Amino acid sequence: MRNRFDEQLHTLNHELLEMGALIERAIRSATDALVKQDVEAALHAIAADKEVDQAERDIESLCLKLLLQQQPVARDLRLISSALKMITDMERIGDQASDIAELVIYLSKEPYIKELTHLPQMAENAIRMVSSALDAYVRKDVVLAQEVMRMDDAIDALFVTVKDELIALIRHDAAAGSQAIDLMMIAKYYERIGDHAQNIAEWVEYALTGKHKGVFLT
Amino acid sequence: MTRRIFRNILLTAVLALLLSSALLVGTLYNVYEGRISAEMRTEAEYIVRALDMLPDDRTYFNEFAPDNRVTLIAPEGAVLYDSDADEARMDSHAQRPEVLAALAKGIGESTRYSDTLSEVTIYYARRTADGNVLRIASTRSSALGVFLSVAPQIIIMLLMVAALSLLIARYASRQIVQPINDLNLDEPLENDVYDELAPLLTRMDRQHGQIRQQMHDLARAHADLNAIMANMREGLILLDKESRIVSINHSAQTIFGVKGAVAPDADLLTICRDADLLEIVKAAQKGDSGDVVLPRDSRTYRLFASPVLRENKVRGVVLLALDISARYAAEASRREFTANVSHELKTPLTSISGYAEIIESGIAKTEDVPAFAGKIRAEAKRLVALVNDILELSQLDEKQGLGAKEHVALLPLLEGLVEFFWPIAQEKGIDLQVEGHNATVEGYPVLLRELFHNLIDNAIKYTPAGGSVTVRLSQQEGHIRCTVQDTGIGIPQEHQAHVFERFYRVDKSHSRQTGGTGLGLAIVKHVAEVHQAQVKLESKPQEGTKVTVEF
Repeated sequence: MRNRFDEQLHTLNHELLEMGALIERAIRSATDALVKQDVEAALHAIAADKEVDQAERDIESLCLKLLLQQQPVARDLRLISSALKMITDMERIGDQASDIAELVIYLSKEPYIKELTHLPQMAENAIRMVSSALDAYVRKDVVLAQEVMRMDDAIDALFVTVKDELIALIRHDAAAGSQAIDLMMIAKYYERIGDHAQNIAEWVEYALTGKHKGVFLT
Repeated sequence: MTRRIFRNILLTAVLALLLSSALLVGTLYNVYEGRISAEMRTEAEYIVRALDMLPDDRTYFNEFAPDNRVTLIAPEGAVLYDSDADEARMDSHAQRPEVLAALAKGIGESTRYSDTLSEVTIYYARRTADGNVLRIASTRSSALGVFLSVAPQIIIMLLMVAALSLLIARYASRQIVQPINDLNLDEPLENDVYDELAPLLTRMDRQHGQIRQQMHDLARAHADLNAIMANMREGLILLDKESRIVSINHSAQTIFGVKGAVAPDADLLTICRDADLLEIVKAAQKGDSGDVVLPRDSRTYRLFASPVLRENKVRGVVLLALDISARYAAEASRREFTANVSHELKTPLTSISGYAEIIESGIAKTEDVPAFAGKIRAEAKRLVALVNDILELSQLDEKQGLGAKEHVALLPLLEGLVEFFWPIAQEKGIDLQVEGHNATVEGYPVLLRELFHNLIDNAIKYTPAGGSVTVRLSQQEGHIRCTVQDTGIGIPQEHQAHVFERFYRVDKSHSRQTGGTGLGLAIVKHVAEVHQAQVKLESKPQEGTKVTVEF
């Protein structure tokens, strides 16, 4: 009985990491597409979203099956319930990567109004946050998970910078407005990815310590 | 073992007991029966004599109290007298076999068993003188009856025999097994036990030898494999069919940045979460090999995933990681070089064809034609310089046709160059000097001349009028050091790392004026590499540049 349960937990762990790998690649493709105005990479990111959605459904049903059939307690229960929460955030990250990619395809027809400096930085931060959150899960590293939560401030600050730049740009040249708004949206998506990564890190912390945002949930 | 011995002993004992008691009972009974018959015969004889002598049977029988039952039967069958029963109620005895026999032959005998067979009655009949038949009957236990009467004792004895057999069996089996348990199985032939075990022990000894040999072979194969895995530069990971790591070698741990030991049964995804890698692993789990290029920590690896098949079923996946950074970088730089070469060659050619077209179409005024021709010539010269540099570089790349190294005295070489550049420096108003003591290196004089030619050429090119260029030759701690220092425009910090790259230029417009190919310093770097020398660049904008070649 226990062996079967362990086997299922291993499958859950594997599928969760697999989904993680998918979203990491999706963000990277979307970012590549943004920086190099590469439509093909953007299409990859959009295609990945379907796989991510499927992975979410698979993991969700596996989690529910585990909860109902095995009635886990304590640490196992925390692990499974936090997995259920994590995949929701991971699925949203996949969506946002796909949204960025769609905007990039739209923007690829014209040159950028300004050289992208802070957006790639935001992207880099977002990717690092997602990777670190997943690494924290893999290595059962609470300290790293907490670090991810702090990293969100940097990405928020970058978002404000990008926003100010774009406002200045529109003020200077009203014609740049349409593209500026698209870039603004992209920046917002990256900022949201950062938020979701932070959520994942919080659930990792919960799975490891039983504390969520400093409060014991058990 | 105990049970089997017990069973055999018990069976033997019980059989012996039963057979001997049966035999005993049978023999004794026969003897006993014989004596009874004889007694009965004698008794009958006495009674008959008495009856013959006495005139009245009644009187005889009235005082008669025999041990056995005595019956007097009339020839027609009516019972005249019976010692045990009332003769009036008794039916005819004419048909009894002993009576019939007595009537016919004078004497009759018969034996009849009771209903339970446990008793037997022996009859002896004799004809008296008056024609009656006297019968004597003796009822005794039959053989079976005797046997049954001793049955309880026999059963008790059987139980005792069983208990004894058990004890004996235990003892015997221990006695038999003890030496077998004490066998030294490591050295089967050294034992001295039952001869019956000799074939077993011999065979065991032979198999011992085989097992030892096989273990040894296996251990050696294992050690070989481990040594290969541990020492190979390629990363090797063995996965089971659920992508759990079965074994991972040191190189693979380094590649994937795993610190310490990998947890047993860890998932591949815990050390590398790359979707592309995952795809080929999944394909391998379905039985298809594949490979993927994986950049990791500034190095590039090619990973091959192959299925491990046993009986046509995938049992796991082998992952092999090769470091292809060098080749990958070389490929990238070659691609870049090719692109740059085409671009660089095209630029002068475009100019040439442009000027030529102007002249051809007659748009150019006659007096301008020499100027255009001059430009065409200048561009052509640039092209030739470019092609020469490229040829030289590719020759250096291939390291072919260099010939043998020879002793090269550096001071005369540098003095020659300074002499060559002297007029040009004079013309620009630059002070050009060479100083230091002679030193000799092993090398290719043509290449070394080219190296210093390029360095001095650059120094003069990028130094404004009134500046100075100093070539210094010195020897320190066994290293020969040659510096070319100028007071020129210098190289900004951010460009310093790139100036030795092919076609890299600090200021594109400026270099067009000065007619450089963008390959000079690349050649310098290459030549230095061929001579195992190091090139160091120190420069500050507007202050000057110092290039040091250290052999």
